[in-house]
Amino acid sequence: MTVGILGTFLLLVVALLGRWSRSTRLTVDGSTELTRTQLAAEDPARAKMLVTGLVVLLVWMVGADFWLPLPLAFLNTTSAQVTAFCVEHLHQSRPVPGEYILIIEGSSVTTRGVDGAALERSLRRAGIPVTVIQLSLSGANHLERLQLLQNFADSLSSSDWKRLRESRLILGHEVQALYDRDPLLNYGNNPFTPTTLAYSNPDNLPTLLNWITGRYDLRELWNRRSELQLIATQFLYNALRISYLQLWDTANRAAPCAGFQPHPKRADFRPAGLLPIDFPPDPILSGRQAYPRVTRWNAIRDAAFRSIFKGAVRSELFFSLPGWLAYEFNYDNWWSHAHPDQLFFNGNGSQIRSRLREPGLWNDPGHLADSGAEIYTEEFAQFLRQNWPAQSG
Amino acid sequence: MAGPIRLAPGPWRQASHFDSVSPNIIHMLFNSASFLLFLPVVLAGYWLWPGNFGRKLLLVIASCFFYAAWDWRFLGLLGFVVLTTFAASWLILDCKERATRVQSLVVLWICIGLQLTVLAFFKYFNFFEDNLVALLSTIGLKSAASIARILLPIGISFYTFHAITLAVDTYRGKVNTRVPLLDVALYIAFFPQLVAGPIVRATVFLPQLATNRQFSGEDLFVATQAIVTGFLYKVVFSDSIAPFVDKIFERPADYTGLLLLAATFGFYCQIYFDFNGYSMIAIGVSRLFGYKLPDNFNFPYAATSLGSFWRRWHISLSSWLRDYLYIPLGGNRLGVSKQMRNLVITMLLGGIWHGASWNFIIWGAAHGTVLAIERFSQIYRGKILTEENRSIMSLLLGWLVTQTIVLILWIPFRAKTLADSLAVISGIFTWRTMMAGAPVAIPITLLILPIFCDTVFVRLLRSQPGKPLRRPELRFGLLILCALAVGLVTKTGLRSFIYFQF
Repeated sequence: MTVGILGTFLLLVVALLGRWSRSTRLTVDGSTELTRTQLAAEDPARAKMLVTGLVVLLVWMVGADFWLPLPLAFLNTTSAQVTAFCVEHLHQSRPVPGEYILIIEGSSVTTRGVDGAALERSLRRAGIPVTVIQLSLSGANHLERLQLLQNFADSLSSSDWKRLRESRLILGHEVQALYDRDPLLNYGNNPFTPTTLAYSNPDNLPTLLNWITGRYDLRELWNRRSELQLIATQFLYNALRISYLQLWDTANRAAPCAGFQPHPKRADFRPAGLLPIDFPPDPILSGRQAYPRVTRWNAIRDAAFRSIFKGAVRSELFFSLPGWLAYEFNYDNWWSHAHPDQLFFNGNGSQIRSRLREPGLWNDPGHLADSGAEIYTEEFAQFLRQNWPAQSG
Repeated sequence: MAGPIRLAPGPWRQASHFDSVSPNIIHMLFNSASFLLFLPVVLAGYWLWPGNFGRKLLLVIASCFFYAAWDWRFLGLLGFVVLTTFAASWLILDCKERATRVQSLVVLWICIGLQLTVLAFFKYFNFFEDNLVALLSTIGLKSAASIARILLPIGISFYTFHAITLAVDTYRGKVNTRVPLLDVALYIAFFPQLVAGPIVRATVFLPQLATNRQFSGEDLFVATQAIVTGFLYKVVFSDSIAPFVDKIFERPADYTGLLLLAATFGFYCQIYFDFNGYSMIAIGVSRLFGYKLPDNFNFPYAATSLGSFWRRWHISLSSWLRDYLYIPLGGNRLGVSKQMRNLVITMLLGGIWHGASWNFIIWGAAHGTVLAIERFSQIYRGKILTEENRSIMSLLLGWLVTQTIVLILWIPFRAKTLADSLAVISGIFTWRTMMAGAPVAIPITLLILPIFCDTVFVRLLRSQPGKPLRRPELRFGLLILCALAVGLVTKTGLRSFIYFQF
């Protein structure tokens, strides 16, 4: 109803602005005069009109930032729901002196493979006072993950921030071959949907440009022109608040949704044998020249994620999840050698792979099923128990 | 020339034009994000270039890019149409200069024949094949099942008509100079009107190409006003009504007479806002480059007779059919029965032009028949009734009858099959009360308020004579504000324009 009334109002306003035609109205057979009575060069109105139009546009864009906040339009997205769950979880957990707060960020492999609640229980049973905040989302590219962390940070009260600063805040990053080499992975999956528009926030544009310039050369940028076009237009949509009314009208308060979303074993996943313990090194990547080049932007990404917490992050940890594909295995092993100074839980290590050999533990070649997630989480907890006492803080 | 592109049936077949298109970024719909980037770039290049030739060349290149965004394979077809029309127009002039009228007529018919063959092949092959297979099977002849479909090149009906227009106007002497290839290409392929019109006469467009266009405040204001109104029609009104109409027409047998009537009225509004919206954006975008295109709609839902409706609806097509089909058939010159015959033939072909389906044939034939009856009654009474010489009661009655006919005839136009058309008509006329489908709310405000205000108040405001505006910069600022507000109200998602299939 709102659309009909507002639309009709706008229609009348546009018509009321008047008809301006110095030259005769054109008819279909062109019998009318087509010449102009006044040349543009002599038209003083033109410049004034352009300036006025530009001023209105700028005022709108600035005003929209104040009066039409984007988070209100994207309350129904999964990222808002995960944020709501995590904020609720932080509030429910009792702050204790010397507590750890572990924020886990990641994509679908984490969403299906890491059970944040079980990890928290396991560590607490071992006497480590920890609250696990699992900000992971299926299909989430790095920009969505940035927005997810930002949503969480924006939802915190001053007492929450005080708690974060007083705790040992650890930021856990997912290491994943496909995502780490491509900041635009999955960007074009859901164009012009609330999911994508929610993180195509003009505030994120400088960060995204930083990642893109850190990752691609000009030739590669040309090859990714479709995604770049999408990025430009979706950011513009948000900057101009296109469809805002409808998005805002249909948005309700986000229903909390956990970052861990277990999946059962998929019936159509029937591999020929057990999960291989290891793979031969990839001949193409054996020189390991490709990885440093394509992942050099990761440092910029991690810094952007860290900066959201305004200096509260005490340390970082990295983790990967196992998979059936050789390149993931090779990448994780390269990563552990290339970053010896980082705390890294290699999900493709031989011990964990030997526990996850059974196909029944898998949802598909890249994702664990619920029973596999249970085993992985146990191993992850074990790793943290062994390593955290050595952590700073 | 690109060869016919045959695709196996299945997911590769073109979706129904009433389906919402997937938001594929390569599609260059006026309401798409890619067009939002494309237009400013082309505009900037165009106005920064000093010379007319360079500007026209840029527009031709931009138009090819625009067309290739749908399917680059059909660029060859577009090129073929341009080249054959260019050659025909020069040959016709050559023949006329040598006073060989018969030869020029032969060239004209070859050109028309080529264009119509291309159109018929791409547009009607599937239809004829399907019907032939069905016919053979009814008489017991085993026939090969249709295994492949020919994809319809977007805009083919429009650019083919442009090509025929130029050839005919050259023959008729309305275009009496040799038109350069670049101008022919731009006339046929100018991107604002390439895919769904308006069908512009060569005599309207070509003189505008002769001089370097100037960018005036008037152009800026008129163009922006048309574009904002067009977007309002399309992305606010039409796209908001469409889901309701789509739902009911998906399975019309499942719904009550009331819902069927509401959905039919919904389509009555949707198609007007959709196609008029497209036309206004096309006219506005064209004006941004300094080119004027004629109006394509003039408040058709205010018409008090079907003749008047067709002088107000899709004016560029109906007047084209009048000038290039009805009049050559004999027009009003050959007696009452032939006048009526010509009307039916013209409208029947107009229906077929819209698409290869029995629904469009019925729609065109029905309009032709009612127009013929209307003309007969006027001749029988001995006077042509105009809005000026009719009483208020006569006007009201005429409006009611005309709009009811138009409304009912939109049913075959919208329904997917003939059986669906019958289901809608029988559901409405028997006032079916049983409903098998889930309850559907009728968007009453959307169905009534915009169309009423547009037909009554906006018509009144637009009927005011044009004049230089006072404080145009303030009005323009308000117009930009309205444009931004339209964006705010815009429905999410991307829907194609209905007329893009024709």
